Amino acid sequence: MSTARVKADEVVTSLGRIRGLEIEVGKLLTEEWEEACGPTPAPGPLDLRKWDLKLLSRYRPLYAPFCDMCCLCTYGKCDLSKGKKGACGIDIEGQQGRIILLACCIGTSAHGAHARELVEKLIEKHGPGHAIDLGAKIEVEAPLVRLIHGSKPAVLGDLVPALEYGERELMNLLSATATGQEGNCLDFESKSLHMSMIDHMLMEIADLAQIAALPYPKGDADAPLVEMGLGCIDPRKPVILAIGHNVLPGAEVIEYLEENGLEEDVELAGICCTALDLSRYSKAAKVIGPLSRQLRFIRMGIANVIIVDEQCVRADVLEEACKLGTPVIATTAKICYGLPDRTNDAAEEIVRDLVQRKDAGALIRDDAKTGEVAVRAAIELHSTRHTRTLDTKRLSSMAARCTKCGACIRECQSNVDIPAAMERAAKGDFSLFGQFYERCTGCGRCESACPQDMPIVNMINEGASGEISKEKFKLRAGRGPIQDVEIRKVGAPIVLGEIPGVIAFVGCPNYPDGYKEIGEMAEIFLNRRYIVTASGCSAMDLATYTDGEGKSLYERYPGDFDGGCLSNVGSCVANAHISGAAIKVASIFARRKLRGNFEEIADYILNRVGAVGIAWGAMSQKAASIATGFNRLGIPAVVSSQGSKYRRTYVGRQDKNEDWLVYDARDGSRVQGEPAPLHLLYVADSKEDAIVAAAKLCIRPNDTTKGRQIKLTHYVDLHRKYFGSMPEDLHLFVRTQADIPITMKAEILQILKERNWEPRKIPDPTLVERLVRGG
Amino acid sequence: MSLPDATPWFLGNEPGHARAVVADSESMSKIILRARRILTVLGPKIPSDGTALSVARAIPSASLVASPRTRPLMAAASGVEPDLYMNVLEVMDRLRDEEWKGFDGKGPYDLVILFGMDYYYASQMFSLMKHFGRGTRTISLDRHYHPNAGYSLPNLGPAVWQSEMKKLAGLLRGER
Repeated sequence: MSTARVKADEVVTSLGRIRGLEIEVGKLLTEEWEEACGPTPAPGPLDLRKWDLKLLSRYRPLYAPFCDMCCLCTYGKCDLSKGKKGACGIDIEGQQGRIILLACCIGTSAHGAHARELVEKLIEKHGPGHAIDLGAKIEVEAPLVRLIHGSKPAVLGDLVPALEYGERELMNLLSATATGQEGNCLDFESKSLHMSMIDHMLMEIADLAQIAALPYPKGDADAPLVEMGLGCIDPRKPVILAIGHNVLPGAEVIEYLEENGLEEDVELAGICCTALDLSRYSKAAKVIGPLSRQLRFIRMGIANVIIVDEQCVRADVLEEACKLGTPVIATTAKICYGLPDRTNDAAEEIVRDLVQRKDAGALIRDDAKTGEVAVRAAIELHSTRHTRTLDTKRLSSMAARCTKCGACIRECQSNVDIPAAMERAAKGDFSLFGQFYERCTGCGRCESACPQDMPIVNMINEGASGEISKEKFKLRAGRGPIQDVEIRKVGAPIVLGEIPGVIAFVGCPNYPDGYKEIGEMAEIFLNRRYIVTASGCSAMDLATYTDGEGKSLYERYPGDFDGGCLSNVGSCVANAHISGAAIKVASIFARRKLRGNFEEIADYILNRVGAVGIAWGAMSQKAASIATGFNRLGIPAVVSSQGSKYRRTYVGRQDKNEDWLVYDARDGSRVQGEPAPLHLLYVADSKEDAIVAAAKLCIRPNDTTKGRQIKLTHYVDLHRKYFGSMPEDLHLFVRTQADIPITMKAEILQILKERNWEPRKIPDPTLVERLVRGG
Repeated sequence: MSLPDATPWFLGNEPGHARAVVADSESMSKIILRARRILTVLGPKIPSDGTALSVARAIPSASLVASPRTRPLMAAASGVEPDLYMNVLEVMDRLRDEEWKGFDGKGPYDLVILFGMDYYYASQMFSLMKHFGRGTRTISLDRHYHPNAGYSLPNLGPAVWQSEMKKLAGLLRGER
């Protein structure tokens, strides 16, 4: 059915003035949602500022500048050290707030533009009236859109107004970073929180559109197990590599393969979130792994054609591919690499030019054409392949040229001893390079620094070749949203504290000590029956953590959203389903209204829902906005030492009682609350610190005594295990004696006595005065 | 004699022109012995070979704080008993607070010594102190130059660093 749309902000007719008129021919947009609207539908930058300032008075931004300078305008460079202000009047605190806002805007824009592209293309293909039907088990289809925008999308076209709202907010907030605008760090922070809240909504729109229109799992706990790892690619077949976050070009490759009966003849492999989403689309797609595998896999020279779409794609993919004679197809306006625009050329001509290497690649902004060109070119190139990769002998002779200048070490954040490995490699022994494989983040900066142009990444590949060939894991395909029925089951145990917490592993693979650490952490929480969930590159790296039989965590733990289960929600944009699950607990279990009611829901989550994100390898601006969006909703995040480079944390002080005063919603009295959660954004010193901190950050003021006993049991037990002692702050989390775990009673009572502990009233806590019911 | 290498260990880590004064073990000992109240912070990756701990033992610290991860190491080492274990970021958060009276409640510290961390993490913590540490002086005893610290050793090879640390420990104990 063809449709036409008329929109007008204001129409004056003989009947009167009509505001906000929107008519779609074939369908009249009508209000069919009976839920009363809360105070902040489609909030502007100032509508939730009071909530932000409450959070920021508890969790004061702590800045660690990357740089003393501001280089953003021609007044500068300005030196902001030693209390100096820039020519525009900004100080170092304001400048940090500004940079953080900029990062959150960049992150949001990446997800928002991704959402825009998906929604537009899927509407074009399926029509605006295509239903958003997630099945009978999911009625609250878009918790973030409902909560923030105040609308209830039923069809793809309904996502557009919320998308437009997000885009408006992005423009407003980005404008605040211009010279001569905002100068106060707390207001910058409030704007960052606002932007990042919008980011979660835009991520939800992106994922909802693709789940609704594509054959993805729709909240299925038993989504299929798919193959992952560098070793699962069959190099005897033509290989197409898709890198990035946008599923549509790769999906068209699958369509073309199926239409032409080639699905058994060609390998389609993905890296980063494109891989995750392709595995949701079809079991035929192989997942190589997170973005840290990008340079390594390209260097292996297995791919015959590389498709890049958007986000987390290396800027030098074309350069690297050219060295191997592998053509690159760019598919979006976001990454063009200077390639000729071949969108309107015949597929046959493009294939011919790529095979004859007339061009290094092509920009094709037509996904169906990309699918055809990629497959045909890959098949032709595979049959004439001449490998240009470096063999062991050549690598060894190159290693002998190393002068031990150490320039590589001074670029390596993983702190591996490359010159020592070179010395051995020169004698044909690449085993030390092989040992770097797990720790190396695959950034390639060591090579860039090397005055001898050593291909260090290839040398690491060489040393780990045995490991790489065996690298075959099982990853559970991204399931998408958490079902309403699951929330009904776990809502009460989460809020009452009987499930000790929800731990979400999110973010990129920039780990301080290798990718195995998040697997170790996840297994600890799984065995303690926390709800463990994952997304993006972290979800992929969890698949690499195997037991003695080679079984991954996904094979050993069910995919439900329940205690002791491991759910993979999907790609980066699926992070919205994690915040969405917390919102659904408030909505479905506690029956709080969602529509335009952000502050109440965030207050509920902060005080009641023991959820924590661990972004152990967070790297990008997107990770900054994802974490900050969780924070506005009252969900803390833990990052590794690498995360200190985000320049800002939100830390609380448990020694400042006044920071933890709350209203008792029963009578409006101001009472002493607890330092829980203690931080909103915390840099853990080590894996051990992160484990103990996450257990502590799951504690919430509204836990029942039984729930608190369970949470304290884990906190104390983990503290003892990793730090060999009882926690020094234990007394702060015991409200009455009934909170004390029975098996530790005597020991804890002794500690309480030493600390002059006295029992406290357990309030019905809220930070928002208007939510007080009585008084 | 060649000049000490006082470039950021990660070369991209150029903060600006407010940079650490390069100091050797002798200068470091004088700065430390002149300080009134010292806070020593041992990071999560403090070397386990005993050299760093022997310096920690010799520093006349008003308060000695260690990252919780070091607990097993401290338990095995004799003569180093931190006053408390705390995440480094939480320590730094307190140091920016004008009203804070120190871990012992006796007033602010005038010198913070920090070592035993990944380079980039320590760099961020020194930056935090440089800008928001209320003028408290800072020292890095890691073997790489930290421009964001107040005083730092230059970039040193492992053997030279060991020797400098031994010398520093001796000077702090009054050995000449």
